[in-house]
Amino acid sequence: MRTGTQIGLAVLMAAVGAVGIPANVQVQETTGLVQYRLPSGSQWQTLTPGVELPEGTTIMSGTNGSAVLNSGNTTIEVDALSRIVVSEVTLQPQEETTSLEMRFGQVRSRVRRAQNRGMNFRVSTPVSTAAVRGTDFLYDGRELYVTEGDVAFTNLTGQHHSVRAGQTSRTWKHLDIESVERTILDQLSF
Amino acid sequence: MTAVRMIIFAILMGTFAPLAAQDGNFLESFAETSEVSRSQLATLIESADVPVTIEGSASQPIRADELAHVIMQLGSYGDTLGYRLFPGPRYAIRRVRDERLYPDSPRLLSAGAPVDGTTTLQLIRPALTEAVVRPPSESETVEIATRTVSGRTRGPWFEWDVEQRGGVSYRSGEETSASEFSADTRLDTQLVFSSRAQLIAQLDAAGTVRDDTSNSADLRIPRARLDLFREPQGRGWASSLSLGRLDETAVVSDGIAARLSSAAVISSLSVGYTGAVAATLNRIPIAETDAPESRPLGEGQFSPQRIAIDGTVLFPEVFGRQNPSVAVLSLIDPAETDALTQVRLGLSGPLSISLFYDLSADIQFGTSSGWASRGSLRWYPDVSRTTQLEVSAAVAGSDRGNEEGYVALDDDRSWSAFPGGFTNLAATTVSYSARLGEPWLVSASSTLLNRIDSEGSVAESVGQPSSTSAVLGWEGGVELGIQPLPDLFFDLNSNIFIPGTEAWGGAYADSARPIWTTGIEFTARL
Repeated sequence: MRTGTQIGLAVLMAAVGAVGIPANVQVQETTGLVQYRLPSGSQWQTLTPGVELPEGTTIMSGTNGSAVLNSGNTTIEVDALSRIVVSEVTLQPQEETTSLEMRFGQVRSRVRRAQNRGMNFRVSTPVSTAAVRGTDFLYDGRELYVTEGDVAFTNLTGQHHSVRAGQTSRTWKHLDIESVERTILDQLSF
Repeated sequence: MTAVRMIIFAILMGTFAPLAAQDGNFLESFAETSEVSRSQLATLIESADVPVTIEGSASQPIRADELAHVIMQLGSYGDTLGYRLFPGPRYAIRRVRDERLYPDSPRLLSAGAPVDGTTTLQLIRPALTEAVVRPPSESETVEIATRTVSGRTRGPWFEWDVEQRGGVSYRSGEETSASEFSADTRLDTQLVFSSRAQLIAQLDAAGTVRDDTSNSADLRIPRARLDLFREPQGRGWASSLSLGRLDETAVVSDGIAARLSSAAVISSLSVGYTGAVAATLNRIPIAETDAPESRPLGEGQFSPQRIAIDGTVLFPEVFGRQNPSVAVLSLIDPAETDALTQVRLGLSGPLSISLFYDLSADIQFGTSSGWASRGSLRWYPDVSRTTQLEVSAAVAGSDRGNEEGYVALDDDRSWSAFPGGFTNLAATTVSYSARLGEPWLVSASSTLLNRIDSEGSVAESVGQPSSTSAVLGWEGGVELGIQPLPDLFFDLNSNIFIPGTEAWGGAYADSARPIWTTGIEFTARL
């Protein structure tokens, strides 16, 4: 019986670990007009510091709006004129996952590596996806600029680039990804 | 009283109109729009604190070049010569393409194409958020100058683009000296019938006047191309019909080509003929050793993503060509561009007396890893090709670059075996490019050509080397450029080639003295 209980607890923990515990994204600060819409609601509400955003929440920042969000060890700065959907936020003992869908706009993400816990952070746009572990990057859906760490950059056709600190990558719809050192990018452009 | 009402109205507009333009409902419906209208865009940019003019019917969709003009008016990008002289959509879209905000190719986002809501937000977002009205504490006055004019119908419109390049160079050796004046003009015109059907004509004119011992002159004949394509957004088809006439130094080429392409696959088939009137229009006497360069009579290309297949078929029985018919298969990894370091290995050899193969592979790493490979078959029906086996290797790389500049290195080596001997050739190039602070640019390069451990002669026309190893020559060059505006560039360059003793009577000029070349060139895009 005791062995059976242990096995049952182990199976339960494994199941919980595999599925992950849904968590919320916390709003740290906002500037200008930023609104959000809960997955169950149809009305836009003004985003204010301290609000907890569950999975499925849509965030829309106006032309002068910006927000700083926290999700576990990840800090997300949502720039002006951005539309973000919090598609997944889970906490597991060994891993925390944050997935965002960005239809337009720009986010700056700082993913801090946590001890004994894997970090999985992903931003998807209609044309590409950036997935990171422990890094700092700027991303507007078409152009990705990495300032720290590595980012896996994938476009619609499945092409994949590993973009490192100091590099920038861009794509346009179904086109190939271009990656180049940012300092070289600005030179000899004529 | 009326004045007071106007002030109140202006204040209300300044307070609430921007908020309305930032509202989640408005932005959500804006992003869903398949073709953004002028009035929608006007509402969006009302939240910006800069005067912006949008002309045209309020209900009509905004075109990509007009959106570029709005972006330029928002003030995030510096002017060009063309935009400064003629501010409008035509130069605005060129500017934002130069800034890489728009994709480089007009085929991806042509000037007359409507723009969907999400793309509009992506494109205008950087400029709009930079120019946006800050909270009231930071901005006391709001000026809204957005204007829409109704009633203007849009018919076919005409767009044009000219790039003019001119230069003069002077070359001197032991017995010869020559000056050369060159001018190239490219005129791109588009007659836009609607946002998705256009007629494109391209006209190239290149002229060169050369003053050397033969006092010859070379005037090239323009080439024209007509494209008619219909390109729905995203996927679709495009077709083009090309009418070409290309006159180079020794040969005239005329032809007609047709191409059909879709978003994912481009296939083309062209046929043409090489005129037998080679060079007669150029008034250039053709030396016996200067046989006309062959032109393909048939070409085919099939290029799905990552794979390219090219074929060229000649008809040697007609003109007795020396160039082969070639079939090429290339496999390309998308990451092959922009690598910092590249290693290439290649192998060429005979399969029979008249059939040869080429295999090469590039491995690239640095900024991003990638590879490219190429295999080809060459067929020499007239069996004039010297049978030989060739192995080539190359290493190219550059440093990561910084604000001051970057260094590039390219080292090519090939080993060829042929009846009666073999030869090793090596070419090493080191170059350095740097910005001296805007708008100056300087670069320098050095190339060393060597032959190592060779024997025999490649051909009877090449003199028998007196030793097995030699420096064939060295070439160095410096270039100083200034780019005061993005569409205006001046370049001053000077090169010197010093032939090695083993080059005498060989592939290089029969001269032991250095050959200097100096030149100045300017390029303007109007």
